[in-house]
Amino acid sequence: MKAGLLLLALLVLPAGLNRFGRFFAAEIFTWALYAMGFNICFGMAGMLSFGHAAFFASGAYGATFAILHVARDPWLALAAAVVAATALAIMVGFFAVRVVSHSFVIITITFSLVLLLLAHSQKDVTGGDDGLLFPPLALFAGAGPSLATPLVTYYVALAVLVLGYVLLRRLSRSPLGLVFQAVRDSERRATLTGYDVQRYRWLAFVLSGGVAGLAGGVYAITHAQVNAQLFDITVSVDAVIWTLIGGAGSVLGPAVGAALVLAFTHAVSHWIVYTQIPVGILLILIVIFWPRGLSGLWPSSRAS
Amino acid sequence: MDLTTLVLFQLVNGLVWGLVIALIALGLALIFGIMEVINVAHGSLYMLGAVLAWYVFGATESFAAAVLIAPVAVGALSMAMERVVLRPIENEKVLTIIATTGVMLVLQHSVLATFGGAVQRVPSPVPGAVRILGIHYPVYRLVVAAISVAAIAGLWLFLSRTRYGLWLRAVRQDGKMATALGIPVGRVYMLAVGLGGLLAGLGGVLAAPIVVVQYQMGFDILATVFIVVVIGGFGSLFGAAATAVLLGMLEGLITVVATPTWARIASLAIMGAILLARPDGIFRRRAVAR
Amino acid sequence: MAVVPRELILQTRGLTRRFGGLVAVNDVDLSLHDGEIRALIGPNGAGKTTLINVLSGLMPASAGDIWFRSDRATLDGELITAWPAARRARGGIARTMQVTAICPSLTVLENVWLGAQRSQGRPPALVSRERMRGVAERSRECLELAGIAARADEPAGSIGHGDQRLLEIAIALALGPRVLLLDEPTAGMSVKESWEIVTRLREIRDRDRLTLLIVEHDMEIVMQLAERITVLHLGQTLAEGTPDEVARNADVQRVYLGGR
Repeated sequence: MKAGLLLLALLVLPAGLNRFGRFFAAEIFTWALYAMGFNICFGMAGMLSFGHAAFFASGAYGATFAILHVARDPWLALAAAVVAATALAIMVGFFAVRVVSHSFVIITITFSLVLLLLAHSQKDVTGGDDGLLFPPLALFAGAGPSLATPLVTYYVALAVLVLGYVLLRRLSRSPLGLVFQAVRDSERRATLTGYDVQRYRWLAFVLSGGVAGLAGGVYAITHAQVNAQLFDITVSVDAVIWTLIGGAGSVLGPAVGAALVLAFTHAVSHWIVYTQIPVGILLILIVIFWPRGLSGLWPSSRAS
Repeated sequence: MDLTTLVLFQLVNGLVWGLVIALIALGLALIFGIMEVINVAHGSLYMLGAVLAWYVFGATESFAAAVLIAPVAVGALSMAMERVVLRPIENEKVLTIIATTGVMLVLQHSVLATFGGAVQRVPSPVPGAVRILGIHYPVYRLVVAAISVAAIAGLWLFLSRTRYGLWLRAVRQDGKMATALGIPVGRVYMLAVGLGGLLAGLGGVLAAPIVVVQYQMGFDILATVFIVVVIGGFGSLFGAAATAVLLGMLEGLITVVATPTWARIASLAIMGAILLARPDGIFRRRAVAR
Repeated sequence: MAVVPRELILQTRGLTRRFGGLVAVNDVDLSLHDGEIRALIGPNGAGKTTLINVLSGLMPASAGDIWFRSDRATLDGELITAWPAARRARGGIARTMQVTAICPSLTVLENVWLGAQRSQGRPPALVSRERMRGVAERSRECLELAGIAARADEPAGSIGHGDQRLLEIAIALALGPRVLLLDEPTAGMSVKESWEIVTRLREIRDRDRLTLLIVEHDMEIVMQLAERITVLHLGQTLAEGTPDEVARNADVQRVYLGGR
């Protein structure tokens, strides 16, 4: 019910927003989806990844390559984004989920860093810091409104976000979602109840990467450009922070966290150039004065 | 340079750099071993050491002053961080990640705001090269190695011979027992974090003339140092130092045949593989009381 | 008691488990028959829990074999020595832990659901659990059987230890196993609770033709409940037989019952 009302509000919101407002909202939707995808891995399955930028960025680049080399179709690009990110998650995840807790965090940092280094060094493929550009797409592969229009971007980003939300909500209420949570809570319980823990961790990782990649695809088609900085660790750290602030225990929590921090950063930017300083202070203050407001979960890898 | 000379040169380079990494990693391992804090701000402490070194050197023309002042300043700042930010949330892993990320953001961007984002260089304080092992090697880097070894030795002496060192080791082993024995655990935490910050800052000072000084230099280091600490066996000081030196030399060796970027990628890949094979690290800590 | 011939369902041959120099389970031959209630007793350190760990797959055997017949319809079994724990649970060997392993942030019902959804075949991944009536019924049934139906919607981490043990039993039952290994199910329970659970276990066994292997310290319960008893000492089988036979066994008296 509440979600329905929220959706209604979001559908009519653009009427009250100017061009920048709509663009900014679309940004929030994109990053919110990214954070929600991250949380399949973290909140649901209990694995803390500091490397999700790799999936977002590979999704963004996957979409871009599809646009540049196959067809100027945003929906095909989104599909390509998911394929690219999922493929990466399948390969990396196979190994990564075999270790837990601290080592898993480090592995995710490592592979993400390797991809960042590659993205910067292979400038002819990725465009490096300058990145790759393309003329803005039309909504339906050559016809329809242009994705350069903030209003269109708004609704496209919102549509994909809603799709993501519906899928994630279903997942969390499904038998599969229950298994992910069981694996998070107690590896031993999951095993003794007949579930192959490594398999399910792998699956959660892959799904998580895929959704993050989808968000990357949305980024690509709405910005009409991508660059190597999308692989940066700050993008990974963002996912963690937004999720921890908004709450890892619910599907929408990470989205709320992303919205709050991004909105705060933007608000502060009117007075302060270096917005990350107040953001950092905010994080510290939240932790000191409102620790229980964060329904974060630490993956209990050694829980019996 | 013929091949043997090149290899030797890069190995020594790697050793020197490995010793610097060892300092920073020891700092992180100290902090983690005591409080199980994943100090995301550790790279920024290193960066701060380098930036302060640049600043002090620019103001006083004395590198010795930089070596003395910067690490102590960073150590003091770290102690303040422990008291204000970490103490209220001790043992909450999730919260410490957020909190230290906040500190990192504040430190990084304060430096950006104060000194700008331009890359700075610190001239080599000890110019010239000397002939050792058949190669021409910069004197400064040998000084770096010497200071690093001295600092590591000093740390070892501190931990094994002084009362504070004993307290630190006791709290690392078993915090509750230490409290029961009357050890002022809060002070020990502050000491550990202060020491950890001091080491990171020292690493930054020593590194400043070798690498470029810039507000983002902490990130690169952070990943490397984290990997080193985990592979070394989380919390094992010897493991962290040994792994750092080995990693430095390995990477140095690889740069003989590859560009620095590819050397980095290769060493990261190797580290990743080691971690997958031995998730608990190579040098495991003996008694891990949790 | 009428003696009904029963077929073999679980058997170990020369089962051994070493930890470095220590031999915790030493060349144990155990034969369980379909529908049997077997008690496993022995002093502390005898290797009982280790044996259960090896049987359930949480630890690999150092030597020896485990044979198991998962299909009631045939007399053919297979060697499951190399099966990982999850596969054994799927295959029909369930166990409860001495130190309970449950999912604290999930409700009691959700915990049991984990077991129940297993036994209903493979539902499509994104079906909402609310629609799975069969699983819901089975879950509630198992909660009733274990006696914790009242706690169904509470977070499993917040219920008492005794109830957590009952929860483990409920989850194990929900799997629909052939063999149930119970590691000290009554530890920490009051006398009344212990007898309740014992009665329930016997009812369940009668109803579902379950085979029970119970590690137990309470001798009264053992004597009342068990049809056969295996006594372990220092990792080896010291004696095996009916409660009367075991009680009269001189070695057993010396090592276990006598020294009190």
